[in-house]
Amino acid sequence: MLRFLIFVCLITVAGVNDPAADFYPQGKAIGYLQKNLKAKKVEVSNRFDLTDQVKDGRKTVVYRFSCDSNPDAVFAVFTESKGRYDMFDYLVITSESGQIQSVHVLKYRSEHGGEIASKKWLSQFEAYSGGKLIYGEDISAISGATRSAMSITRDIPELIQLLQQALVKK
Amino acid sequence: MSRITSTILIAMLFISLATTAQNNTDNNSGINAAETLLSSGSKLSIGGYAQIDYNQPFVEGTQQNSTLDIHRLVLLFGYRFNEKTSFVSEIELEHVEEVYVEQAFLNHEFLPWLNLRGGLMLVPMGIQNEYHEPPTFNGVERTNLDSKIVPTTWREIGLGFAGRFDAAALKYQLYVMNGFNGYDGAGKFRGSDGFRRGRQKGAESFMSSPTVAARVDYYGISGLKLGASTYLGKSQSSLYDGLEKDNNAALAQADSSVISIAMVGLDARYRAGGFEARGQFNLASVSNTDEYNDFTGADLGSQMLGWYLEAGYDVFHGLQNDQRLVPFVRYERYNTHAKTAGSLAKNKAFDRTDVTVGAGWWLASGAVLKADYQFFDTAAGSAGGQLNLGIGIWF
Repeated sequence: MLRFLIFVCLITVAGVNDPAADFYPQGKAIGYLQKNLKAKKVEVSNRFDLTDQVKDGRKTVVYRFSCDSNPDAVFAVFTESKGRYDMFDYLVITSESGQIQSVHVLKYRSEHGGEIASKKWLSQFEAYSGGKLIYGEDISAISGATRSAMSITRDIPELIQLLQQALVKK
Repeated sequence: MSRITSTILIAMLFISLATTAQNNTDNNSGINAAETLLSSGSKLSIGGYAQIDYNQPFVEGTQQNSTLDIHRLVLLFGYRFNEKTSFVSEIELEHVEEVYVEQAFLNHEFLPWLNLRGGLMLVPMGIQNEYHEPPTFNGVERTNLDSKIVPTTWREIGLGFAGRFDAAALKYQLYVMNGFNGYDGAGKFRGSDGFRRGRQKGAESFMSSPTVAARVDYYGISGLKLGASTYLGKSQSSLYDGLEKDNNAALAQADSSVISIAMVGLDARYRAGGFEARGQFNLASVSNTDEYNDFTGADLGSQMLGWYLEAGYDVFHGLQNDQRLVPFVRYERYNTHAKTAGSLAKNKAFDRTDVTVGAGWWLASGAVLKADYQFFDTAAGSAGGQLNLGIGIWF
């Protein structure tokens, strides 16, 4: 019921074309946001689309989430990167200043490379707030998922830079 | 030749179908057909890999010609029906003239940890049987352990489950598969390369009893991936087909034409900074080899054992480009006569040690030039050496 309300809230507040597409699979993403905000009832206040600015036009949509009990809001970035043959969808949760709090793979499609969805591996991006990230150095290599791991390591700095630029403008 | 023509025709059909489908929805004229296919929205994936080799053997006291070969050229076609269901196929042209299907399976995801998978699948044993694209390994040729004991590319038709647990950094595969053809009028197994000639590869394969293959991968430690595999079951025999149930003599004969295999494998891959290392261990226990050898005249061992360790360092590590230059060394031991049953004497020439020293220069993550030298030694004496040069690609 709560999820349904949030979903309705999303459509009305954000007025987006197809929020369901950004939120696939919805329950999973909202669960992560509730955990980051340490609250059951979360509200979405605005949405902006960075797709046009992202290299290769990878779909990238940002939502601002907040809750009554926690003064700090978070930004939820729904985006995608290229694996070996398929795109994979993931969620980057940042603080209001654009520092990463957590990264979650929402949908990994290929038969190989799903190793990057490992919570432990993704935790390496936590607290990142800008600067170079070198695969195999700052972010550990992961056998069998090299292409996906390299993609996400390359795409996250670009994403955070664009997000921070967008926040400054606002 | 006609098979190659058919393969190309099938490929063209795939491309034209996908292009038509795309054109119906996408009028962006600035994109060519290939780009349309490869665009993220496409349901069709095209990929492939190739290995082009130059091998120059050196045998003391004799002159040897070198060989130049398009060892394999593999074309991948994948189709994604929806978010849950996909099909993967790989068509292989081996030595230019031989056409094989290397993989052809349907995958349906119920949940990330529960996928149903069926069709022609790779047996998940060791590192290279599953990850055999040339840019994924050092050395021009695959390791000999992964030829003589794990018979890469080992694939059979089967059905099973696969999945991953993100919180535990684990993934698994569990399949019921068809087994090796051990006898179809003549014995297929032999001492020098074990089960290799028994692979049925999904080509009009027959089954007298199914086998089980399973593997678990753990990747929860930074830079490290650990794998454990097992394969259990009997070989297949054509003698069971049409066997009268009360004909004990015929049944006994058929029983002599099969062996039981219990294979285990452990492997590890590690990468930190510019350093990389990997290793693998395989043990195959084979029962009923005494009867099998008597019946077929073969010299199959009752235990096969092998391992290798390899280390390399990326000299270009830290430079801001895709290129890698990795000198490496590999020490490999494998014995297809680790044990023999009955009166069969161990063949010392099957107790082998290879040392490979070489380097790979990755021009891009999917394109590599390789050079190495291999020293071959056996318990019966030196078996010479070989210089290998190779081009490997994967896209």
